[in-house]
Amino acid sequence: MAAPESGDGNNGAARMVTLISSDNTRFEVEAAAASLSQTLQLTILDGGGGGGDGIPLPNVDSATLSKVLEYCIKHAPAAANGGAPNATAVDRAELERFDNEFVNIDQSVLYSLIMAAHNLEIEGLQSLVAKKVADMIKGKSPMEIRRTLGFPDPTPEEQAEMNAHMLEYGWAYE
Amino acid sequence: MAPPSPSLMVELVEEVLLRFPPDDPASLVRAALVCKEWHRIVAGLGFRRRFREHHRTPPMLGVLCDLREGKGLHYVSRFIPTSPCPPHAAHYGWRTLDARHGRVLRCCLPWFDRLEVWEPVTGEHCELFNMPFLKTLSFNAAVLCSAHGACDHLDCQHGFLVVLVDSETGTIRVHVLD
Repeated sequence: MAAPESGDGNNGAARMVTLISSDNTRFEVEAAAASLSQTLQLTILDGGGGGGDGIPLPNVDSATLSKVLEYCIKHAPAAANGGAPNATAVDRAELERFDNEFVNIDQSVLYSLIMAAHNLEIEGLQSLVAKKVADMIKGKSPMEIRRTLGFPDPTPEEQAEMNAHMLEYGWAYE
Repeated sequence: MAPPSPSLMVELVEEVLLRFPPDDPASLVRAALVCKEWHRIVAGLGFRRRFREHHRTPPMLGVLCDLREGKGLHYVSRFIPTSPCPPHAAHYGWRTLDARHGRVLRCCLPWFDRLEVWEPVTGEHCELFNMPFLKTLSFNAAVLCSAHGACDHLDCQHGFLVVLVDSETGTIRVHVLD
């Protein structure tokens, strides 16, 4: 992904854009970082988000947006280098360390993050959180997965159906 | 913050399930039993295609081990899973000649007079031909996907062909069977 041209005539200064969360908190961030979002990139390339306008994000609250931007700011330099083909092993290891710590968070924040990453089309973030959720549930039984993800308890009918399937696919539970 | 309702998660469930380990098919089976929606996703052709594209390298599900039991002509070909997947199978009277792209080519012992292709994942098997003269040949054979260059072999849904080489007549002969 190419970084947008920096500066609005401000020589050397990175272009900044303002994002407004659903609870009306304003975040000023470098355009290059916000452009990790495919959705925002179009608006930013059209010159939006600068000055006093700001880009409203009615689906993302401030706690989630703050977390999303933390990811974007960290990953923006590598993304500006086209996925950082010439990044050093140290840079890559640092990003990996950051990613691992970044998703080591409360489950409800993870859900908000994956929804935001999906809505804002931030592929790397969506992939990172999806992998984390997959790791959380891959070894669990169907009931444990339901509990982990906050599903309501199954109806007796659903429970009977699950039991029948578990008998049929017994090898998956050995 | 309360977890979002499952209906909100559904559009992202596929993204999560895509990242399940391909060498643990049991994890996908368990996920399919979580609810009807998840079952629909896992069973869908679209998801399976994306799953294969995401992981690219087909997983190793197990090894075939040809054994001789006792001192007589009792042969057994055992499929020993290296991942939690079916089948835990033992087939008496067969020896494995080749295995490729999810198919196993084996011949009947002790007379080497029948060949068949077995698909361990589906359990289907297909006897190729009954050639009594096979047992007089010195041969070996391989099973291949028949879609030359058109298949990425991540999930061969095409037919197969068997190439059999024998050197019984002093010259090497190649037979292609499809």
